[in-house]
Amino acid sequence: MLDISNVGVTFGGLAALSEVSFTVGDNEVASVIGPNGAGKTTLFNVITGYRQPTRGRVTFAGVPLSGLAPNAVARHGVVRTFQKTEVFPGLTLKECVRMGSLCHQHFSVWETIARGRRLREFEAAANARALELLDFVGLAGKESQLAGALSYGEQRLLEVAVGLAAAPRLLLLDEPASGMNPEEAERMGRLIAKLRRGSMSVLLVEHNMALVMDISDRIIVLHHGEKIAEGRPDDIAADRRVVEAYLGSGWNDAQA
Amino acid sequence: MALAALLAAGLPWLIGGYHLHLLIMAAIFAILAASLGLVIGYAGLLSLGHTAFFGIGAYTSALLFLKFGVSMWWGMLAAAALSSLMAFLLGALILRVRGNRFVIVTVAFAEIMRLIAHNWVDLTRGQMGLPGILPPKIDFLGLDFNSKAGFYYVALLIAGASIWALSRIARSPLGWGFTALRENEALGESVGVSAYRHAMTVFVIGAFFAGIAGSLYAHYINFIGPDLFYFSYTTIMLVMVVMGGLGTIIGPVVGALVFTLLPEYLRVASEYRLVFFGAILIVGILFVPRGLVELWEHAARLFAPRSPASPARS
Repeated sequence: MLDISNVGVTFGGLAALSEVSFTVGDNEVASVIGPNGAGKTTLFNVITGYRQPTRGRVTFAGVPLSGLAPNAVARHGVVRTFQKTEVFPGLTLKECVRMGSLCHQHFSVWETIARGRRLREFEAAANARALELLDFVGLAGKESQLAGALSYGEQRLLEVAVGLAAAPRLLLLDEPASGMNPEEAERMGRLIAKLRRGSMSVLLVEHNMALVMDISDRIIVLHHGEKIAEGRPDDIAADRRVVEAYLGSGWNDAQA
Repeated sequence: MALAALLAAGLPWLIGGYHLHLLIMAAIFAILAASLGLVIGYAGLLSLGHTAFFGIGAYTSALLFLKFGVSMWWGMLAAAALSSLMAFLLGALILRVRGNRFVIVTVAFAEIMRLIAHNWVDLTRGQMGLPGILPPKIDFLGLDFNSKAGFYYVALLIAGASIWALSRIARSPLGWGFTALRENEALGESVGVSAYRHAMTVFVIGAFFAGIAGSLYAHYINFIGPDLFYFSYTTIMLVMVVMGGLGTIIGPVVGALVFTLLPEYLRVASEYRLVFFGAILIVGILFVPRGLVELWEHAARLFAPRSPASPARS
């Protein structure tokens, strides 16, 4: 479904990503891991239109995404969350989530002033869907609270609900469990596992290895902007290059 | 609501011409403040050139009347159309990148418009201005509507319709998109809300209604000059929006009413008038930072018959 081929990004003379290729299939949870500075967030930015690749191409369901603005990428069904928590702080939870419904509907100024049937039905559906999604992520009953007043962990759940409201076919989660306590992280893991039961694919960037190993079908490992390994969780955990990238060479020898 | 409408309709029989004049000015400024309120309060675009579209509307309508005898009704449509078109062209230049640069360019745009009005003497008569812009002739049910009272009803109707339309826009899905711009543009983009398209839409809508207000003003005062483009006009609108209440449409409307009447009624304090006005502004900003709308909420809570504690919006 998502096809990344030979993507490279250079900042000045520095290569943030080079020759990265992989795919994400239907109904799959794939994770990208790697030490800090490996290029994971840059990869997300390239996929979702926040940065254009210097080389290579990204296609989704056969449609090239390179060159599209983020809002256009979202309309093609690829939606992301951010590493740094992003909500609409001054809006209520319901108002935040229903924003995602705007993704696939557009109303002209005349339709807006006329308030025809299509618009009224859309509003009702968006409000109902927002409540449904708040319930789905575990924030039921808080729809009238302001997003800015939520705890950090709750804001991360809200982010997922906002993304889901845009009805994505591929959801990219950038460190959804970062800064969470083990209990909250486990809750997030269950939530991501629930997503797959729908017909959605998930691409995950995460440092919480327990979470990654638990829910991923496949893991892609980046190091210094290059893909150094790809495979099932068991294979990755045993991969010598991966262990070296995280802990430095010599670790295996020291253990031996 | 019906009571307020009835009261507004009956006012010409109750109050004198001077107060009627103030209310007509308040109606014109209500359109300006409400439209600027949509741009600043909802979309968070700090447009400091709103008076440019007010002035463009006034000059369009005035020139059409003086050169071609076009009545205010058609002139008003043309004024709104030209103001919108200018906003669209300006927006295409500056709305891709917003932020500080946008704010400065809007100020500069109003200043450029002032210079054009000032220096294109063949068309605008420059500093001498354009006199003799007459209001439309209306004969309705045998009543004389060409008096000040007649214009009051015209202004009331147009302001009412504008505010009604702006309120509908504000609470529609289009309005939701505007708040995405104000609250978190990058997040909005990530779920498909185009920042550029919403910024452009709100900017053009704001200019459209400012153009209507300009046409109304020109035909009421009968005279316009380049001073319409002065920054002080934008400042007055800004005070009405911010003191009335950001993020609402009714707030700026109330702000327009209060800040049109207040400076006039402070005239009893003669030379201390502006000192009092300034003091009221400062006290307002310190104690009711969310504007007059907040004052209303406090009052409503005070007089509400022991309702269960409503969740505070902190």
